[in-house]
Amino acid sequence: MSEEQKISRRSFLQTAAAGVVGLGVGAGIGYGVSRMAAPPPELVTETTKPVKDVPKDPIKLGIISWFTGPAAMVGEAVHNAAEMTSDVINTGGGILGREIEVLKRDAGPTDVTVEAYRRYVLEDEVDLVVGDIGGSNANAITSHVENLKVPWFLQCSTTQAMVEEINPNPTFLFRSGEQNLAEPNIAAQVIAKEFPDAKKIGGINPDYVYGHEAMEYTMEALNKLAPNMESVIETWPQLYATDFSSQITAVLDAKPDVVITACWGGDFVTFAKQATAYGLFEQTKVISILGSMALNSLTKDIVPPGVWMLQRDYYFELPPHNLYPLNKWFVEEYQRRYNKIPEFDVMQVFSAVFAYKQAIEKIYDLKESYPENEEICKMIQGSQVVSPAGHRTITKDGQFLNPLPYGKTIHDPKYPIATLDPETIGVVIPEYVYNPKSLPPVLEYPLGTGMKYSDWIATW
Amino acid sequence: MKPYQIVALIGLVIACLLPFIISKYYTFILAVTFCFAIYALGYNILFGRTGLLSFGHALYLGLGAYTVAFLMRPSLGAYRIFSMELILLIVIAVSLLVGLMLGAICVRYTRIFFGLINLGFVSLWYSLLYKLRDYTGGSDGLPVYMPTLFGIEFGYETFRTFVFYYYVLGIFLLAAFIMWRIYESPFGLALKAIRENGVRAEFIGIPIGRYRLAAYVISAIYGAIGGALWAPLSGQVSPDISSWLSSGDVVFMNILGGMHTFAGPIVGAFVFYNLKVQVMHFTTYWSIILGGIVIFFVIIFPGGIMGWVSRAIPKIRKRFYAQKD
Amino acid sequence: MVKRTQKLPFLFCFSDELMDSATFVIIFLNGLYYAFALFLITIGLNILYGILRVLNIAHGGFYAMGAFITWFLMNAAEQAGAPIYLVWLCIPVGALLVALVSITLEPILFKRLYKLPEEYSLLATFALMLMLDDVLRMVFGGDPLSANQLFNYMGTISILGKTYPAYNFVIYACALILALGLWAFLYRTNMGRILRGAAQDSSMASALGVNTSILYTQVFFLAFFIAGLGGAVYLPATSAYSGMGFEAIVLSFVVMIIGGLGSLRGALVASLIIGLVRGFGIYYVPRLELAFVFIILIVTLIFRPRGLFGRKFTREEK
Repeated sequence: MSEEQKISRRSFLQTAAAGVVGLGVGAGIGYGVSRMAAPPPELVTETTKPVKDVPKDPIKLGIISWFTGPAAMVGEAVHNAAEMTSDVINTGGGILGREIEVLKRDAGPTDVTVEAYRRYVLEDEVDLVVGDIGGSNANAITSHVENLKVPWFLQCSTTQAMVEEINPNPTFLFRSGEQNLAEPNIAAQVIAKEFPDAKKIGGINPDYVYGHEAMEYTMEALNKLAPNMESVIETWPQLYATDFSSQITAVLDAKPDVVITACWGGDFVTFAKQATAYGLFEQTKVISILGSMALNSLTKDIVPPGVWMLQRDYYFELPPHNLYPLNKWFVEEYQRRYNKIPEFDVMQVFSAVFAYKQAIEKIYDLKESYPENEEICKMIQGSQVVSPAGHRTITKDGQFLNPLPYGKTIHDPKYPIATLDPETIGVVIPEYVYNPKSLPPVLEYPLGTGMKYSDWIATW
Repeated sequence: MKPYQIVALIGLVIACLLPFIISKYYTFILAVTFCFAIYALGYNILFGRTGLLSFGHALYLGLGAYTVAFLMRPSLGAYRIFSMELILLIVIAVSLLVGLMLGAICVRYTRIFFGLINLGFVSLWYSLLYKLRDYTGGSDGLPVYMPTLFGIEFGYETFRTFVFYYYVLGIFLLAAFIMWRIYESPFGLALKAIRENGVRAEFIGIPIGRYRLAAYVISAIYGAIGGALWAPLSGQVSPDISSWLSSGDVVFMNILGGMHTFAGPIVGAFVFYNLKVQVMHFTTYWSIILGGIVIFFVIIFPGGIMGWVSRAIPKIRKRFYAQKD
Repeated sequence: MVKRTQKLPFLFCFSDELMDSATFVIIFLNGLYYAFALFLITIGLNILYGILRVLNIAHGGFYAMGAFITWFLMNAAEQAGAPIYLVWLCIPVGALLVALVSITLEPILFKRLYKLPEEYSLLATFALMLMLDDVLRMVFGGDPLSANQLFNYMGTISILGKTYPAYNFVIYACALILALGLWAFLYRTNMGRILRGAAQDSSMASALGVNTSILYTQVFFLAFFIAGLGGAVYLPATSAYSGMGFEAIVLSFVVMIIGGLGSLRGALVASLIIGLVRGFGIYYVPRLELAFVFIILIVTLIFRPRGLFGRKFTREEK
């Protein structure tokens, strides 16, 4: 058994005991006082030794994300997640007694994001940064993060350029969401499995790097998995477009068997609405790669049943609430606070901050002094963290690995939004199979080597 | 020595000492501000001096920045250029060419039409940057690696928060000196005449078409140099810097600082950029504050900060001399 | 082997088949959809520029305001369980509210801009646009907001076998009625003649006893009503989101230039050209999309900079 699993089991038993006591006390206090419901025992970890040599000032968590513009919902979700996470941790005693304080600011265009990070690090002395930003912004800050040495946990803003060329082996930059290449792979595998007779593929993807990569990577993977399929139409609406009717019409005319769309956020909402009106969902099968980002806006009149949707690395019903209480608590708590269902970046922020906390505690256990940033980051790499999505492993190059759910939509009377049909849910996991109906695991991309995507496909 | 020369000298000394006094973060910000000051200074010879409002000058900012990134691309292999000096020369050449080409079309029209045609060009440039993904990196842009300064390589942070500050300061001083000479030359004065009344200027023999083109090209080159110096500080170039919204920034800088004075754009760049940095940090509703300030200046103080200063100076001087009597 | 018909150099990707008549009609209608959105904004811009010489970049913000205010009204109506005709009423009411807001802005801000050179009004309205966008975000939040009642109510119709949202015809009807009404107003009524006269020579109009101040206020009301109406009538078909004003205004400028500054005919014709070219362009060469519009712009600027129906340049403008 590995070292980490020994430690985690020991501390689990201890915390289970402490947790029962803690729950009793905490529930009593928490019930009447704050808006916090008592966190489940897995989250209330403690160190085994009394705390000394630890600074008293709070740990500053800086959020740099989109708070303005068409993607403003992303920043709001990240901020909510950080608030909730820091409340949970602070109620449980903070990190070695230090409370977490959350700061936030807008990411803006690329140069402003760079300046924001530098300001947080050099002027405000934040301890860690969390946030979703655009592809160019993410590429821009890599060199600053590695040189200023304050960790940044990205959610779903990874780019192939970052992974292949600019920073294949980061120390301080963490990707708490999976890489952009995972989703197209899964899309290709879903198409190959569910629609083996399909011949023609169409695409309606936003016209920027992410959209292009989504389509290209899916087609490249399909090249290997189902060589008889071809792409017959690819349309490229502008990012943040308000009108998809021309693209939908063009796609309908080409009569593809499957349509791939990487539209996300408000784009996907408008797209789905118009696609329903033009009958796209009836005439062809649609796979949405990132539509789940606007989860709370996908009401039943916008998204019909039968649409395949990939959920990035978290779907709020999985792990099942009756089997995994942490997820049940997480979803209910988030709903209670913000009246919304948590989408994947909420879970990603949550697990990133907990990984950070866990690393500090582990180092303190060993060293009895408060760790430096570099030590914290090295400890996070290669560790495992408990999260509402299950156990997440973090690789040596800072990639959080996750189960990747997908499924067909259904209209469940329990929810106001379109959710996934449990009969159709599959999960793709690098390490183990979750659901007997799932596909073979995603063939692992050699992380940390900077290998070009096309070269990797060639090795299949 | 004249008063303004004393002020400039004091300013220079302070600028040289600043990296030792202020924090690393603000040194970085100041270095970026100097880049924008060069950009704004060049823009003013077109806007304030010649009277041509261009809403698409961010094209040249982007042109300079992308040239830098392009010359450093790993795919160039042995032909990658890291020498900042060589890069700057290439940037000047490229912006000269592009400025001549586009300027020849633009300067045929003035006033609103001039502004709108520039808007058209910058929009086209922006969409090309987006579309030609294989060359420009599309929406993600291109990374900018560390250049060498006079052949010497520096570490990332030493470069960004210390060494490059002086480099940019030096180029800024050179650019400001050259612009000063242009302003004071017959050519510079002729531009003023063209702004006041193009028809009359033509009648007294000034070749307004050629002079306008020259002003345009000079401002293009300055803009490109500003962009080229900004690129290594940022580490990444993306289409954002050439968005038409960002074109508005430089116009604001000039109006804020005072477009009919020499130092106006420089002051405006400093005030606007630092204001923006501060406001953006403390609230996500920064557009309201910045927008309000600009409207205030446009309506109440069209002469800008330096305009107000230059009107106030004679009053101060009068009072000073009156006291002596 | 995965064959991609689009693997050619990006400029030269054409689809192979000729389209059938049903698709042609649908694409034509889609082009109209896009064209009328541009038209509704550009009309207001042209009115303001033609008569008042104010180039109002903030017009996009009023378009956005129309969408948001109408969303608010429709949402409130839905919560209150109002019958469907009340929801329809939200559209003109929303537009009216936007116009009322603008009336309060006119004496504070725009009056001062009339006397300044055109460039200043460009800048001040640009700054106003930034502020408006933020104010809308402050009030309505960052999430995209949908109001689907009317869109769903109208359902879909079948055109030559293809499904098409019926609500879009409401948009077309609205835009056409507006265009006709505006033409009738300007060319058939007294008020319209006065407006056109004041546009040509405001000091002369004033000398002839026209109260230009009130006139200008009325012009503002009209222009902003149309902008708000644009946002309102399109809302059920799309959604209201932060930053939508900026998108709208850039394209409107292009339409304005191509059609001719200050020309209403030009706004209509140019919107139709751009809408239809884009619609058919997306079908044939999907990769070019927006670049089409800017190419048309540059060509216009090089060969006929005053636009299709713009007035000739005066000596000062050369």
